[in-house]
Amino acid sequence: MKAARKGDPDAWDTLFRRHQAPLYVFVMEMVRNRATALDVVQETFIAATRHLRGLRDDGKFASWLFSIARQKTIQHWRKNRHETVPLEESTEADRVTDEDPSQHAVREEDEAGFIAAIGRLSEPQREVLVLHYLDEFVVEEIAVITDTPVGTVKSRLHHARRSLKQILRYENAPGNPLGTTR
Amino acid sequence: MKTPREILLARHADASAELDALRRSVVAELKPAESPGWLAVAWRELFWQPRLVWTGLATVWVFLLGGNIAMRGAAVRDEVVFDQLAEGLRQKRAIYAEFGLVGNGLDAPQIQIPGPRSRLRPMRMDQAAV
Repeated sequence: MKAARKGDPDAWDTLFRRHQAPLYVFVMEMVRNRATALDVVQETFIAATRHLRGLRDDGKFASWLFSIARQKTIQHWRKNRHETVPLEESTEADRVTDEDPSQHAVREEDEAGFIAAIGRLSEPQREVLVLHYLDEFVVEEIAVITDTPVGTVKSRLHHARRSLKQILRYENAPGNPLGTTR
Repeated sequence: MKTPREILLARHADASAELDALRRSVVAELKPAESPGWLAVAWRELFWQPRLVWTGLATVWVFLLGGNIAMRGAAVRDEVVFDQLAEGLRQKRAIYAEFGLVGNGLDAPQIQIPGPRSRLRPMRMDQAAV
């Protein structure tokens, strides 16, 4: 962090590499469009390099980065309200792989229900749940990232988990991955 | 069994190449901050960081300067008044002298200016010896 504060490109590269995947997944789950998610992640990285002075506690870099990403996502929503692509449409279009479809289906058979269930959650619930799962943020950190009171985050997290379980139970998804979480 | 984190990350793993590319593009734009010269360091350490102290001192200096200027004006005024008084006294003395009210100066009481005590000490010792 010290080197990053001095503008060391290698230090920034290390920091971004560590967080780029969870950050992208978080943004992707929110905007549901690959190109937009990549744009938002890029804007987040640029903003982070410019405004690192605003970060007082180095230990909170991850939550700070995610809060920037969230702000950028909101800005994107405000700018392009009518251009949001539904998740199903975007993911199907983006999944360009040369894998055997049957193998792909087998590999995802336990995960598809979970992914679908997350997609069916309300936006605020999905946001806190993805943050909770992705970088194992604690409730207080999620509250800072989402600019929401801690109590509200707790409530959303509780309802999101319950909704997820209900959806999975209803759809009778095999191999419920929620069983492995803390 | 995979954790939700692993599932979510695996779902979007195909974007890793693009993420790497954009990360490199952002990092490539960065330039390491040059170490500041001694002049900049001195400026920062001596003046910028204790700027509040300097501001306070400057304020005090301004007040002192103002007071000094005001006092100097008052001193000049006092000098003028003193000159006028002295001139008035001289005129009065001339008038008294003209009418013979003031003597030739013999009537005036002699003012004895005492010398330093160190001059008196040997004399006293002499007297004691006698």
